[in-house]
Amino acid sequence: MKLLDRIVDLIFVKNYKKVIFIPIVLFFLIIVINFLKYGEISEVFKEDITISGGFMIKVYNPSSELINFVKKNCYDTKYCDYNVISSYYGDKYLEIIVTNKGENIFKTIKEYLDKEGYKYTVSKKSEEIGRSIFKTMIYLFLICVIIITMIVYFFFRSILPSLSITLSTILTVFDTLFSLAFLEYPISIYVLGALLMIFGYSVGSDAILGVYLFKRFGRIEDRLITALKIVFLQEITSISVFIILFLLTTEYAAKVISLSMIFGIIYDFINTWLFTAQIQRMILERGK
Amino acid sequence: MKKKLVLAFLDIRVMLMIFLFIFSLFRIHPFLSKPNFVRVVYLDDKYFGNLAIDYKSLFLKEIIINGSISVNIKDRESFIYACNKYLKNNSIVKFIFLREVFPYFYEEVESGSIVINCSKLVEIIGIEDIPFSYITLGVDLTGGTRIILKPFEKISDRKLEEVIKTLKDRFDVFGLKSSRLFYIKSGDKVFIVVDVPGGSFYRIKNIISSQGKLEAKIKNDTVFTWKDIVFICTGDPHCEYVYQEGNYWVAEFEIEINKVAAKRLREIIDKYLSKGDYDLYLDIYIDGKKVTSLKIDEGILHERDIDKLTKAKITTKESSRDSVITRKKELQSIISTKPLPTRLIIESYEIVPPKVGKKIFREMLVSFLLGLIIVQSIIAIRYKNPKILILMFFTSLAEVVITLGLYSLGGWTLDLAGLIAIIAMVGMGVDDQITILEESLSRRKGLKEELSVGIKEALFIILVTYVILLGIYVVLVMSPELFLRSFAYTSIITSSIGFFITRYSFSRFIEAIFE
Repeated sequence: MKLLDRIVDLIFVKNYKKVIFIPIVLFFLIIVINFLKYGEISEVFKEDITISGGFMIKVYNPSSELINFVKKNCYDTKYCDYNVISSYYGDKYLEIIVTNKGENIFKTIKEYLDKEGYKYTVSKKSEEIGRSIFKTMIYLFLICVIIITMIVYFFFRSILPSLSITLSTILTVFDTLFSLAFLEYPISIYVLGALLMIFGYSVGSDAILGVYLFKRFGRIEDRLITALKIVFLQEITSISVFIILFLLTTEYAAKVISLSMIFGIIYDFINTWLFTAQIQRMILERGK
Repeated sequence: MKKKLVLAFLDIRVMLMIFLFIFSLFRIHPFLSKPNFVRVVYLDDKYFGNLAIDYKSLFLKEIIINGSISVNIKDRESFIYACNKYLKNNSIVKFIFLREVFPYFYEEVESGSIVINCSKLVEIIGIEDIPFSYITLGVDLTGGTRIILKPFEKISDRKLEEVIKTLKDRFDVFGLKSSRLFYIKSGDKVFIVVDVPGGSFYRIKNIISSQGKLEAKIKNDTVFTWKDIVFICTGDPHCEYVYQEGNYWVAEFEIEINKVAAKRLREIIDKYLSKGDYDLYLDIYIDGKKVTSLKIDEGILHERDIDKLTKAKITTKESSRDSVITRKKELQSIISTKPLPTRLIIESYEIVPPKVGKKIFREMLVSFLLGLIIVQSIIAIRYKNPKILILMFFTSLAEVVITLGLYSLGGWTLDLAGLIAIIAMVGMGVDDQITILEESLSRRKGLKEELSVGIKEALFIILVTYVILLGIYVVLVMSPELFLRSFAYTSIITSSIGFFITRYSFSRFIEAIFE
């Protein structure tokens, strides 16, 4: 506890004006890491087949012959990708993703699977539906940002807190996207759905922060730390469920959603408490 | 504190939560051990009479063949085995059903004796193995096919209903009675969703991608179309046949046309006969593609009685018995229903083998249980209070059980996306309880009024989060992507149950404990 108290003292008492820059530095650091990895910014964000359309095949316990066959067909083409993943249950599965332009590759692989008698799941994703959702999600993000800004402004009656919360939420979204991109997870409707959930989740922690800062009495540091401990506990419980889901599931959608939520919750915590909280605190102190 | 707790239990929302929890448990109806009977999903009312009206509460326990052979039906496999082994033409069959009069309590009900053979039996009664519970699981969890279709052109709502009905009728004729069809709209676009548990994609594809416009022609002259057909033989061994011819299997079934079409047939035959052309074939086309060609024999060429010209046979040939029977069923399902008002394009599909679907379901169940345990462990470490732990555990469990109960009651389908939403709520639902608890703990040393104010503030914070999330979910529900819609629906239901019922109830108990 003494160590924890010292850390809290260091961040929230002695250096609270400086820690505001940590989320901003972190944001630029993530961008630079991605840029170094991919070379071009356009390579960072790739769309997956849930947006651009395509096929996905999942084969449980694939043989080495099958893996080699898929490797041979997917070699040196950007229309096909595959992963061999081991699950916590002790089995392996092969995930093959083929874009619409690689339909011939898909047919070849499927014919091989049918011939060899493999049991597999296969899905075809529609580009029309994917793009329509993508557009809807972008509008939804913008609407959410505007609504959250307005609600917070209504609560605080000041533009600075609402802008700080909005900026913090935007940082969270992009931090999550860049982190997923670094781990080579393309943008999918599952990621976008998870990011929208993070918006709502973020509002909850901002509401607790706001209530404790502006409606409680006592030292500002003490109020901040009380709110921080509550939100920290909440985030630990939420993250633990998503970690379990990520580790135990073999389903692509569940994995992507849980990983997005894990990143989103972590970045939301960092951005809320190192950025938003400190800005609101400075406003409070100036108000005195 | 005891008095406060009693008062909390008497609160209307608390009573509602407890009632809904118990009701939902019965509705979900988990079968914790495998029973020795199967569930009835369909009964033909022509053979079963009043029993067919009540089929949803029936289970098939046993069949008695020819008065002496008794077969216990413990699963679908034993049913098919009994059918193939014991049912010959004109077997006398009696069915012993169980009717559920109260959850887990049954009474025996017998059907009358029915004279039947095996191929007819599977048409008049549909059964399925007893599922884990009464919740309808999606094809991604049980195995099957999901297809999303788009009409080729814009159609009205009335025509859309017609499309759904025609497809449903085709599936019924084909024997896929447990299929689910519905449409979703996104802006000005419409998509039709077809869920076929256990269905094969390639069989279904032919049924749905065929518009079904039948034409019969002799050379270029149209003899009759789908509008002229008055009867199609389906499931009657007197007018449909399957037999081997050399290396091929042949399936035939009779159709009957109206007298106007029969008269037209006579006139067209006469036209060619007058030109000396005796080598005539009746070509059957579906959607412009020839499916069969029937030689018009001597008897028909010279038949003057119009009534005798009303019957025709549709023949199909395949290399194996299974494929010819499948093709026969496809043709019967397409011809016996009206043509679709428009062509349908397959936008996307998902095929999940049953074993894989069950594996995915098990993974999600394990994730849910482990997630619940870990969350409760964290709560236990933080608060070190058994009353709080029990309360939080019961509240989380109640939210999930009531959600599943609603799904069972509404007959809604719980799929992978819904399960992920429920698992997410295990972690995120606890957050609101923590908010209420922390507000109460921080004020418990004060006055009763302070505690109530604290809880009200906590509920306000929960309200803000709920409203924002609800807004997001409502928009996701309107998207054409089924996964997100399903995720959002379940999230709306779970968070609404949480906000209106369980979290308020939780706050009442907290008030009672800490006052």
